[in-house]
Amino acid sequence: MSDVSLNYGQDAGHASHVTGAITGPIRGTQPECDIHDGDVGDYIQLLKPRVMSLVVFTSFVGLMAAPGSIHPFLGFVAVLAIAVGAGASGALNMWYDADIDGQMQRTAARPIPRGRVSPQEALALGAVLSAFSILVLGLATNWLAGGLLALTIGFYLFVYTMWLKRRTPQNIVIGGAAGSFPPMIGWAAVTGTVSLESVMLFGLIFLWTPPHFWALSLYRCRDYERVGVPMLPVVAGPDSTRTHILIYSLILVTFSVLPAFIGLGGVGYLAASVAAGAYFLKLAVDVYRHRVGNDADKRAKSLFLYSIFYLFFLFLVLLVEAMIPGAFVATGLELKV
Amino acid sequence: MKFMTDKSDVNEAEETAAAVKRRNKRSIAIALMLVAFAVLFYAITIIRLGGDVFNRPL
Repeated sequence: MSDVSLNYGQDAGHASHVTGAITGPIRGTQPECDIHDGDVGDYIQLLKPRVMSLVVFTSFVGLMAAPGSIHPFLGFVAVLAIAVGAGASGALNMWYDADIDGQMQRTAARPIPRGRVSPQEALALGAVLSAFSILVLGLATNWLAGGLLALTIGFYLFVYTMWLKRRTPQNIVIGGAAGSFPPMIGWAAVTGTVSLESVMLFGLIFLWTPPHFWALSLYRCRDYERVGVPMLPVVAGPDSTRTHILIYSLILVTFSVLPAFIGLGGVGYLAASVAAGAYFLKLAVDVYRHRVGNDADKRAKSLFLYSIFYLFFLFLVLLVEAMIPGAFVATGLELKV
Repeated sequence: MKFMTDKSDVNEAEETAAAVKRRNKRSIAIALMLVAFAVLFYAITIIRLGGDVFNRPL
């Protein structure tokens, strides 16, 4: 752990150096976009549909795993509102990051850098959809869920996008909280509370985010370097990033079995989390050991892709145990909390 | 020269037609979203109120 602390110390210094010239969007470098000529598809792209699909799934699992019941239509509306809220925060993120998106290979094809949608339109769409989604969720379920959705959108825009992303290599560690809220919101939509189980679901995504994004940033390092976003490989180097990935993977895999000890997951979940976690660790060790050339990139890519499957799989097992009668078999290991 | 002007006019007209088509599509999408939003609100209200919808003095 001392290694990590030392690196964080270095990170801070590097981060201030790297981001010294970048304190906010460089509005002058954005494409002038007086022609608002985007197709409907361009506006849908602003909502980051792929991110939305993960949000839909995890919030649905939170909703189904929660004790109690909700009218099926209101449950559908809740998931829809959470998804639209996530999409709105995606549009707001694209509005703010338009200056650097155009310079990164991964994001250059987004609607604003391509000049299909103006930043102002993205801002308006994001703001309107945020307000609507919070309102609808609050009215359809309860205001705790609506408040959590507002917190999620605000956290993603103000804390992650505006504050952390260009300033610290801890950006995705702390900013990852925004992506972790959906199952908690789904849970709150049914129960009206935030309980240990929903915190557990939050924690699962929260701890999953760093190794997931660091694996991506290992082979997209140049992209981030070019625009001065202080991702860990840029400021601390790929070797330090590999150490971080390994440590965070260990923490994640250990944490991932805990739902089986509080009654959230059963025997099936325990077996799935141990098996899937073991393979996650194997891939993290591969990334740690293979550091040179195409092989290194290939290992990082494998971990990145597997991490998506991993999270999806764990939530799927929880969903199956919650939905199919008889699928949940208590482990008998539940701790009295 | 005249040919060139005609060609550019044709291109411009085509571009304008395409732009108008895209704008119409956007307008239809916004209209559909507003209708969906209104229906959603109505349905939420009915479901949340349940039988109480009819429980009022006439």
